[in-house]
Amino acid sequence: MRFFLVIVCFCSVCPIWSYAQTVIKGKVTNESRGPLTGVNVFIKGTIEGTSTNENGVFMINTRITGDTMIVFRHIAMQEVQLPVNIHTGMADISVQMKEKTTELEGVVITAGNLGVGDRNKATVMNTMDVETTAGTDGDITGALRTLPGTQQVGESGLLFVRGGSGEETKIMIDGLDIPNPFFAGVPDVAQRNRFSPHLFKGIVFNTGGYSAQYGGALSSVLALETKDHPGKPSTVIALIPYGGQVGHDFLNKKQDMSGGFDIGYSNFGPYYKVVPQNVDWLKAPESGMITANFRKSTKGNGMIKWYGYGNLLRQSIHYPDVEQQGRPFLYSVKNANAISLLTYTGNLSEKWNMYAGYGFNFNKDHIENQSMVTGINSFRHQLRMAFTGVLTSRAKLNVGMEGSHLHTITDSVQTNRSIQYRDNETAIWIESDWRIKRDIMIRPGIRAEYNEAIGNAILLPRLSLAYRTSRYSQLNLSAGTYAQKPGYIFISENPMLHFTRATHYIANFQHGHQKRIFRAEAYYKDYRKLLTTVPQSANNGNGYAGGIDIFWRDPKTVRGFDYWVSYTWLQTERRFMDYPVRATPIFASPHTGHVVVKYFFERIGVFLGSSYSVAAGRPYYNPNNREFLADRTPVYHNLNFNTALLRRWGKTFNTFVFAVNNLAGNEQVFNYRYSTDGSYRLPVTLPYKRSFIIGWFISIGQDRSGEILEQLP
Amino acid sequence: MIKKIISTSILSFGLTMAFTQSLYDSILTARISGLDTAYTANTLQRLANDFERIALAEENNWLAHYYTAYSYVQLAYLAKGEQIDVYADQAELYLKNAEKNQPENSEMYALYAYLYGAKVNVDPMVRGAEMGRKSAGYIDLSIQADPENPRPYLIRGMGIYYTPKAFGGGTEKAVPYLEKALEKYEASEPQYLNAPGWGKALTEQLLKACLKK
Repeated sequence: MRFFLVIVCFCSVCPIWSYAQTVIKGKVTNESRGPLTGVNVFIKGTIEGTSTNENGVFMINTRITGDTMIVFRHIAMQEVQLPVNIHTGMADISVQMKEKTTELEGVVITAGNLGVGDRNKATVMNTMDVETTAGTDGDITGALRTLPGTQQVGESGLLFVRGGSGEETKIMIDGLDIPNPFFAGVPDVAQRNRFSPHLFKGIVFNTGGYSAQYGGALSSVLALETKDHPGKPSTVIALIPYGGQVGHDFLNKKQDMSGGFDIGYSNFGPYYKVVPQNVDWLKAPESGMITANFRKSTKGNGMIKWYGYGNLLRQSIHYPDVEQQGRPFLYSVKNANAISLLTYTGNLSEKWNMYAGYGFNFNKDHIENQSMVTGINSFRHQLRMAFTGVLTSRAKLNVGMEGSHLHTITDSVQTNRSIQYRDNETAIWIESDWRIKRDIMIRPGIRAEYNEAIGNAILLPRLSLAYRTSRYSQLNLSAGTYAQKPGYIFISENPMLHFTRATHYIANFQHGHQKRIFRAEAYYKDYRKLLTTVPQSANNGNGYAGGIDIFWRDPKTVRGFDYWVSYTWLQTERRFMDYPVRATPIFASPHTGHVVVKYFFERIGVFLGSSYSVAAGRPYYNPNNREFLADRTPVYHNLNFNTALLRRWGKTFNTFVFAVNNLAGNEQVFNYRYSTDGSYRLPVTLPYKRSFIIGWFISIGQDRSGEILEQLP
Repeated sequence: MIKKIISTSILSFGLTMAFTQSLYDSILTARISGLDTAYTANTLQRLANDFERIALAEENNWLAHYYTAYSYVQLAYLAKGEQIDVYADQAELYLKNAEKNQPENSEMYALYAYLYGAKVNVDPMVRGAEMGRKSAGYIDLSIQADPENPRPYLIRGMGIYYTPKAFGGGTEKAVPYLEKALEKYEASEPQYLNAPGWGKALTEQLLKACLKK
């Protein structure tokens, strides 16, 4: 036995040497029979080998003979091992190598999914674009409105996606719902969303056909993912005409724990004195904000994250009453909002990851409308858990569950009545990604939701399919059903309501190579059981939406120059809310187009950007027209411009920003408000002719030359 | 009898090992000298393959792994766009193998720094912060592990050289680091056979470019 072992050892280090040299020749090609250069060709277990030349040809002189394995390795190709008997007078070897499918190049589901950030295949923007796109003033939802599938609803900050109303889009952070993602506003003035894009490393904007892990939204889900540990500790100061902000991030030496805070104050009062406004402000928006976050890495690649947010805001206007020839009345809002999100992600085993999260949202509104005073307090608790695992090399599984409890208290001073509303919701989902063939993937999923207040359960099946048509392009098909419960105000009025429903059908084509990206998506949505409010709350509504979204971006052709173009075609009709008949809703324009351009003079640290949006007129309600919603507003034009200057002085990085929105001073009419008898009307327009922003952003501490760019407007 | 066979075979086994060892070392020496004049992707790929064959045959030959990684980093610097990542990731793979054998070695850290510097080029605006920071971290580690190693200074100087003036870079600020690197290159002697020695020509070339401006 021992003897045998020795022989084996001996042979393994002494290949069969012969004194004559043998020549092994051959050619290596790729799948399309083109020659492959630089392939490493060698006899397995030895260093005898060579590389293929420009013609894919190789030649090895060796003393080794007999049965061997010849290995072919190339960085972009799958390794080939070929059993070869080496002897004199060998025939030429011909080898064809197949391309490697890396995760990045593999087929993925992209239908209805617009990624922001550099992790996602469906990426069309990065988080920096949010800040550098002219006209968005660093607002995430503002930047998303330059993507196809969204509507220009200038009087609202909400996201109106593919014929859906603003309420049909849900916003989530780290998997947890944010029921009040926008600042409390006054009528007809667009509100910004609460969250700075700096917070997020990834943004996934689902415009339809989304995964079974998301629920509670008929049209769209915006999923935001907060950043991990910062690079280095740093301090940031921002000075803008209507306020300021100070923030500090710390990071421990071991780089496994970090945190930070931001404190901001803004008051639009002085700014509105300089830049004339169409809105008659009694108290310009004044707001104080504090955010904090904490992150800790744990064993097993885990991370605990906490994010906290608090905001106090007040504003009031003189709002013209159309019933009284525009005589103004008082409308005032005070809002308090607090958010706490605690999440854990980590590996359970080599193949399974888990996620757990607890979210708490508090919102308090105090609204004075004419002489009606209403106070609303709402508390929402949410728990969510999910597990993702690898079943086989071709299949992944995602299962999860969530539950939430909502409690709102509405106090009306007039009626001296306090209405309490309590509701519990639960959902479970299971979804699987199957790579059937190298180029085909399917994702079946199912979600079940139960809502206590309406006493309704619903089953929502979803299916997506992706097919890679070539190395850089793929085709996607997606279908699924989606449900959303009516707003709690309507449920407390009529607890017999059902879930409103939509079925999405999507076909998507995407071609992306070297950062140039082309996307075209066609969809059809069927709405059922939409909420109707006249004569009383019921699920008597229905409708459809169909259209085509086209997107093209090219940051590559000219150095420093980046642009994208998007076009949205939308046909939709619905009966919902107080609509007496089915009609195109007031938030839908048939044609919308955007051009966004950016130019960065890297050498001198100057950035220039511009964006132009155009949209066909939207329907508005005119009581003088016997046909419901038959009138159209004028065409919408919006031209914006921004520039930034970047400078480093000592240890500080400085960014100076100047931006103008609605540069051309176009009169943008979003809607008309009519008196009931139709004798008087007022247009709903932008609150300003042009808006200007001058800002100075200072970052102190370590070299943050990369991050400072993110602070462009 | 059996005893004798065993001892003879052990002896010859040892001899064979020693023989291949020195053979590998001499092949490495020859290939390393080729690196200095490898300006095209084809030549670099050929060298990378040569190093890779030794690395695959000898898992513990950390220098073979190191030079495979280095060749791929050089390829990454020649590449454009997403292709940079493909080469850099391959380099990272071999560098990790080398590091297993040589933990906390200044040269490993320096090559990591050089590697992540290449990754910045995929998209400087997006990658600059994260990869630049990673690279800077490894530069610090490399200097800490061996203050006399010229390569971390070269990589720092190079990073500053290619950073626009507006972001705190520029030729003037690069010069002190490059000069320091050159000083250390001139003072350094190879400590062992096939020890990493790259970068002097690049330092001189960058310095020349700095002084021209």
